[in-house]
Amino acid sequence: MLSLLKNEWIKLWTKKQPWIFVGLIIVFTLLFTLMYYSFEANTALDSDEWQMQLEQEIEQEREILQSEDASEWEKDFAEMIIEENTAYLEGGINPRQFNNLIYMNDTLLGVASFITLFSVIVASSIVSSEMNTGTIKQLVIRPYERWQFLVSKFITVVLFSIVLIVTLFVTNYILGLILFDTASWNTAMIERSFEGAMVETTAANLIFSKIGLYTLNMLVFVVISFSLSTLFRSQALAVGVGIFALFATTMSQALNFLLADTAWYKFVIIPHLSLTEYVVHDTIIEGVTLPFSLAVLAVYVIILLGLATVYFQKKDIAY
Amino acid sequence: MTEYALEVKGLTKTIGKNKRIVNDASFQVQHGEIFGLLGPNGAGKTSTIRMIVGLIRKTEGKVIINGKDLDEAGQLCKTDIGAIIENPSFYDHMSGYKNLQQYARMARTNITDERLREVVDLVKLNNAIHDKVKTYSLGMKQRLGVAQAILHKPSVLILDEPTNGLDPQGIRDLRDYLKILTEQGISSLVSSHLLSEMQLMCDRVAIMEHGKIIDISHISELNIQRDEVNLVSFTVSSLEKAKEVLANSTSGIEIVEAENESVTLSMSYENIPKINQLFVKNDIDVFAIESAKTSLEDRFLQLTAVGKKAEE
Repeated sequence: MLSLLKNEWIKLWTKKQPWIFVGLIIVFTLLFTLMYYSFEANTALDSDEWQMQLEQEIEQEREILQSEDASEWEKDFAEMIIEENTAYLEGGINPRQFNNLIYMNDTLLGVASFITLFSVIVASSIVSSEMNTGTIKQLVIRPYERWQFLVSKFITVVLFSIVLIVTLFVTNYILGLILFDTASWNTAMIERSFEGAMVETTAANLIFSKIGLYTLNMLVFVVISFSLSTLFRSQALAVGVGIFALFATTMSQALNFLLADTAWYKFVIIPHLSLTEYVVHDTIIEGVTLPFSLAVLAVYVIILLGLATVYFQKKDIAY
Repeated sequence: MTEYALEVKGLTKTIGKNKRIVNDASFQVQHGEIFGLLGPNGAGKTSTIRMIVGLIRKTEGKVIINGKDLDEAGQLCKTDIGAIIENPSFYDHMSGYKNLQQYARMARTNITDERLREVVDLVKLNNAIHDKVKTYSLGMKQRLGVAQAILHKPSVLILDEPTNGLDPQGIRDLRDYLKILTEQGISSLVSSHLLSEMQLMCDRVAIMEHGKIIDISHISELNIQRDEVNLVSFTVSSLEKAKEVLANSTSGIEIVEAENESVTLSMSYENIPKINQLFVKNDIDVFAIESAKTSLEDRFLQLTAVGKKAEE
């Protein structure tokens, strides 16, 4: 079994594609960092001024709240800013300050969608390409059970996506050290969501829960495309469905809002595919918590992998 | 030692609703024998072979390799088998050597670098073994196919249509490897739709049609029967003169065909020297005497014609 894994690993890396993917992750991280550096870093404030500026902002927003011309929307926004700035002041956190961990927290997941994309491409081709070229025949006539080939291929894809994540993390961390001040992993940080929900925690906690949840999320995409490409012998279909699911998650906010009241929606896979939401939210829909999401995803993963394995185990290879 | 290297009993494959693509096929391959599976395209040869190597599931029947049942000891059976299924495909982006290493790692016994080199030597790929497979010709790929099949020293070699797409030199090479391997004690099962190839390659041949095995015979038994009527063609210096001589003789030999400097005669084997003498006496030069049809082809046509008649 270990020799099968070794074989798969060698087969993967003797192609050009995975090297290109690793290279692209590094290049994209660099570009994203340069953009971030040129736009954000010059808004930084000195330590004495930031409290004053936050207080000034609070004053301005209070005026808007009292003014009669302001629309309902403006007032909501003003309230949000007041709430936020108060939290920063109370926590003693300078939101306009820059250090390597704030940079990391802001940029890390920016390039991460490419990791999902690249992993989906590799996961879709690792079985189907051998079926298309016919090399699968030379495998299944060897003294192994068929599922052992499938398992070693799956582990190879998972290892590959972990390589991509480590590449991203290391590149990002090194760039942070070069471009920004170094902060402690225990630095207090506040994370905001679109709707203004807030969570106050440490840098380490924030960054590692983001990476952890992201990784779990990505693995689900890997399982979807790996299983579909095995079942339908089509790389195009599997990549397509994988990317469709990736885009579907960007709509999940809207769907969550529209379908939250239906009994079945929380058992559909889509709302659970944006796990990083749980960094700032305890629930993504009413009653849907992280353990619930993980349980739903686990069921989908087991069903997909189970179907692919049973199918591959029994299939007649007659092409 | 077990009785047979490979034994197939009542092998049947049904697809869809009662479509039997292999119907109750049984045969035995003896130790050190090259056994051929002959039949037209679609006769069920490939399906039979794929069931033996486990590429497709059998509907019924048993496959026994060196006394071990494929259903009960599948992995043990597979260690005894080396196979080339059609034109073998490889990982094009890797060298021939790296491809072989892949297969070496999958073997249940430890395969040394020395063994790898030995096999590369045998199939004469030394000069190209470190080139990428995508630069290989079809013949070279077929030789690499032989190499991967014999790497782990299997006792049974299974070749499915191994000559497909090969040029005459490639076919000849393959035949030579098979001879060498047979001398080393390997038993082989070869499928093909090429009669002449089978006749040159095999010790025994099973003829398959519509999923059924309709005949199994020794190639030596099939060789020209002395008293039977055969088609023999003479290449001569003058066709007109030859026809004249034959017409005047009292041998009662029938001219089947006369064109392109050669006359084809329907005659018994024993009469060949007599006719030759007759030509020579009449100043006709004889350049070649050939049997116009192979004996296996006769047998095949005869059997399949019987099959067709029986169906009608």
